[in-house]
Amino acid sequence: MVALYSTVISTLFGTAAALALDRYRRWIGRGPFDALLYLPVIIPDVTMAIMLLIWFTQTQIVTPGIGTITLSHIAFNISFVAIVVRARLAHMDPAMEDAAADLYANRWQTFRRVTLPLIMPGVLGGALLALTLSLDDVVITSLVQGPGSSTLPVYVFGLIRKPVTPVINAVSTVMVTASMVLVFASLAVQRRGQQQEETT
Amino acid sequence: MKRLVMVMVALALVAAACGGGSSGAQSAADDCALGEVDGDLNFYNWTDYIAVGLGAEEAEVRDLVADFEAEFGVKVIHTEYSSNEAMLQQIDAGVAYDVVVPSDYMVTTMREADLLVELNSDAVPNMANISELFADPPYDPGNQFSAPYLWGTTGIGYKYGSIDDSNGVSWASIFDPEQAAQNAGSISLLNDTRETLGSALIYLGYSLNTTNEAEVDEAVQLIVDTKDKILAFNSTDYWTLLSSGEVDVAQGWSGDFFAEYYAISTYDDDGNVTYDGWDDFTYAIPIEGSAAWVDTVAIPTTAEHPCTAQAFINYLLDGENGAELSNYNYYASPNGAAQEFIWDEVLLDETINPPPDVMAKLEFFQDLGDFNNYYADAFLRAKG
Repeated sequence: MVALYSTVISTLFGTAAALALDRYRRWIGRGPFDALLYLPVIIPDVTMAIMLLIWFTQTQIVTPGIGTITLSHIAFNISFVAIVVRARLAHMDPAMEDAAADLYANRWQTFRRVTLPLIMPGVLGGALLALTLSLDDVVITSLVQGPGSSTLPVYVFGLIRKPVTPVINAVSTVMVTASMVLVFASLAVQRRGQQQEETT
Repeated sequence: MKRLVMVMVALALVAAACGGGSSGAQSAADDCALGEVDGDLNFYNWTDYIAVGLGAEEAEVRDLVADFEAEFGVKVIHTEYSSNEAMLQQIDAGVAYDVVVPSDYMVTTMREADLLVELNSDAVPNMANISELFADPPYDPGNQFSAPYLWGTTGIGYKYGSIDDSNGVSWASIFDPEQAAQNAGSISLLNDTRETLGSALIYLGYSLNTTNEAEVDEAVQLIVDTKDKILAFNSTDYWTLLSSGEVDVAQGWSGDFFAEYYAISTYDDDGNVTYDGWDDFTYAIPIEGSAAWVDTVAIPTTAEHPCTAQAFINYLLDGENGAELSNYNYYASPNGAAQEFIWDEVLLDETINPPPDVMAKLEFFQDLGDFNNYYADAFLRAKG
């Protein structure tokens, strides 16, 4: 559930961030914002986990639990989605949007009919990547979890205190398979997008 | 900029407000009556350390959590963690849990950081059940802030035939040059400052809590001399080194060995044992003595329901309930009243419950204050 929610939300925000960074090139805040966006990718998980934990407990807007786990996952996923979508945007021909405008499409229509279909492979790829990362995270979740809430990877990690039981083998197999399927799906979607572009 | 300052001031105020909450749990805990509950229990425990639901059925022990819920009419929200340090960070940041399960050294750390609530003896009368050895432990004198949950030992896990165990297992099998030579290159020691040096100190006949620099230096020299026969300093998966045959003799913690021997055993479809790990491997507490470890239950200052928390601790300290913890985990119980309810296969197993003469030789690690640094330094020298 955490993985699903955080994927959907971070995909929305990540795509929006990527679009904004790509379009408003003259905005003063673009440089710093860009750098900030890469931060969760660069800094170690533990550092991010402690920062989030302190932020959550100091502000007390959300009590630790499923809410904080989901928010944390969104926080690191946005960056990954934005990076994937931006790579896609960089390849897009701006003339496409200009042509749409020439044909009297308003901005929403341009976005809905032209831009979005073109960057869709990037968005989907980013979403699948986010889902995978969210399903795999242990470090951040184990620090921001609260009473009555946890995720499967954290439980599995805890089980290794008692040396390997068949449960770990079973769960690990399922998770590795799921992660591989998601990563391949993500790659396939991005690849197909490229081929489409080449044929058009 | 002004706005930023205001946000920061607001954050500081919130932080101050949070800080004030901690003494609340203490005064509330002091006023709790026996069996009083003040809300649902947020129980933060190690993964798979208490039997719940299907796990309890499978292991044929009582579901202590469900029984507590039924008896006291509250809900238990059971959350699991995998490291003392992660738990400490969460409590320190202010996450609200009512009962946590810190290991011995972590009790000292948390107590000194004012993160634990002092237990109220009126609300936890079952403290009287704790057996003598655990009544006044060095990590928490008088059990003021914690109650022991389960305990175990440090010792030697080995493959049958690798060492001469006809007269009991001795630390000499690792530290005596002649005996160690039989297993040269297939011995592992823990990678733990106090545990590793402690084993050498005990072999030399000293206390593992010595603050005599000369004695510690002697232990360092002993480890340096033995190093050419040691494959690894390993605390994280030495049990796999042992079962996979990379080492034949390993220093380690009792629970890890038991779990590994259990894990490498195989069963046919009817649940009959086809291979028993215990046929090839075993564990022993060395005759010279060794270290004991304890996991405890304690109430952090972030607790919102200190009365329920104390009712729960009192419940776990009940003889019959304490025995179920031991039956599920195959660790020894520090609960004197529990012994008669523990299964014979656990109680009579001398690797789990050592006989009195061995018990007398077990020591707890004490917090040595500034001298800890000397140990840390010495261990680095020993490892080279």
